[in-house]
Amino acid sequence: MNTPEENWTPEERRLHDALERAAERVEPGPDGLARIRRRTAVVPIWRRPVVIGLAGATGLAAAVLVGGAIALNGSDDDTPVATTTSSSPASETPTTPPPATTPPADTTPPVQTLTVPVYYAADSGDGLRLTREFHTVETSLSPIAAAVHEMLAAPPADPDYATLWAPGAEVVAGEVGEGFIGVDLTGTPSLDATDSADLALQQLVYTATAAAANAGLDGSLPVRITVDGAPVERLFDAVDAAEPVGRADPLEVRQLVQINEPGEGATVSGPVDVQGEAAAFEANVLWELRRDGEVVDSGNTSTTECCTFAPFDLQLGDLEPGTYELVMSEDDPSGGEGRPPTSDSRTFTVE
Amino acid sequence: MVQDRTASAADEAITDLYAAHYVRLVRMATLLQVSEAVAEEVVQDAFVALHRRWRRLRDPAAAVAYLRTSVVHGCRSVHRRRGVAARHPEEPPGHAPSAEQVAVGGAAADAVVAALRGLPDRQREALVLRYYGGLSESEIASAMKISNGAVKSHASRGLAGLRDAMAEWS
Repeated sequence: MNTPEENWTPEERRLHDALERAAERVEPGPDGLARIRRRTAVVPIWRRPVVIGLAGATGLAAAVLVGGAIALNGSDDDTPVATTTSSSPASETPTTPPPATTPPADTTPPVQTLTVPVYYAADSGDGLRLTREFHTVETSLSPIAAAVHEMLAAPPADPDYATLWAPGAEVVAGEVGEGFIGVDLTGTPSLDATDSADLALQQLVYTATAAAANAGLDGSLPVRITVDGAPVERLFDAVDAAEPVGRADPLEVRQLVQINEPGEGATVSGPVDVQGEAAAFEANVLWELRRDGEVVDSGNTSTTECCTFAPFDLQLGDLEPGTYELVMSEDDPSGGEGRPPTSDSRTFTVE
Repeated sequence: MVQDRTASAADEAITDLYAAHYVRLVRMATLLQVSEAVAEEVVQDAFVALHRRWRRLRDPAAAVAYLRTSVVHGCRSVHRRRGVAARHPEEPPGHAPSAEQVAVGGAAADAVVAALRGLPDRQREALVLRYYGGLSESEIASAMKISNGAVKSHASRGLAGLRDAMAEWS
């Protein structure tokens, strides 16, 4: 740079030194680039955070944008506890109003902030299976409709996940009816390139039932899908959906290892506590921690119960600041003879 | 697919510019008297705006100048909107300087930061851009959107205003 620093007076040099030293005290957070990327990525307009002025409510807006990273308190009940794992510049961790207290929407509801479970699909070795994220959204939809809306229109936070539904369908309503959960769509439901009709149907069923349970409603009910109010004989011209459809066996359709916390892209301060669920042989889950592509630590942990979905809690302790990738997978008792073990991965930053 | 290529070129450029300039721009913004959390937001806004207009501005040198100008104007807007900003927490606790940082920064830095706070905005901008940003007079002029002559007078009046504080640690 063409600065005439050599011509500075001693006074000017002292000013320069003092400014440098004052500035050095400022250590920006580690996730600036991630925050910029999130904003430069193509995001549907309704999902963008409301920006109040230039600098107002910045922490809050960032937290809403980050969303998604929610701890679970149980194993398979899709109920988030109200703590986000993503840090924000604001001093207070914004808390989400508990979804369980959301009243049924029999009048036009106001816009509210909801945290909803959303199922996607991922292939971690054994073909496509359902995976779940939690998204925090501002919406005037019911909790069930909001979750289905996310599933249809919002990209997953985890780059390994994807929806099985092609664009073209929108949700109109999602309410608990007499003995079923009604989800009314409009447009043309169609499949993406993977052509997994049964799993795509289950993606919606899992999302709607999880959202109902999460809102304190009966999530054990089957899901009745309608398009523009009319029953669907053959969804995607491939699967029968005229009668309400219940959840398929999770061991058949869900990814067998699911990391819930930290969320994808989260920033963690203090000891790293990894929580999730797995259905694993002998309740054993293998893990590997990588940094810059190199394995820095590995081991195994146990779920509370074998062979069905049960929670695990892996304490990684204090880690050096940096960005890590954690891969957790099933143990492979067949030694490579059987199907490939399924896994889930998370990238997170320790500050 | 031209659009895709432009988009990914912009992504790459933003990544490079971030690595080279982000920390310093955030620090510059804090010297322009915004809180650290707001400084990060202002600088992130600048990068997002740059990404948006990347197709019209491909020269890396112009990109850096654009970022600086955006940050200066972002901080000015924050000052205008202090009423809004004041409703939000000033400084997250984690961002307060540690004891070690304070010791390293020393009294000189404290004195100069305190003195800067008392200056009119334009004088402060001219001093920070010149003595922290390392910008030339004409670069400062374009970042502040004023004439070279005006830069000169803001800087010299600002320096005079700081002289008292600086005399104490000379």
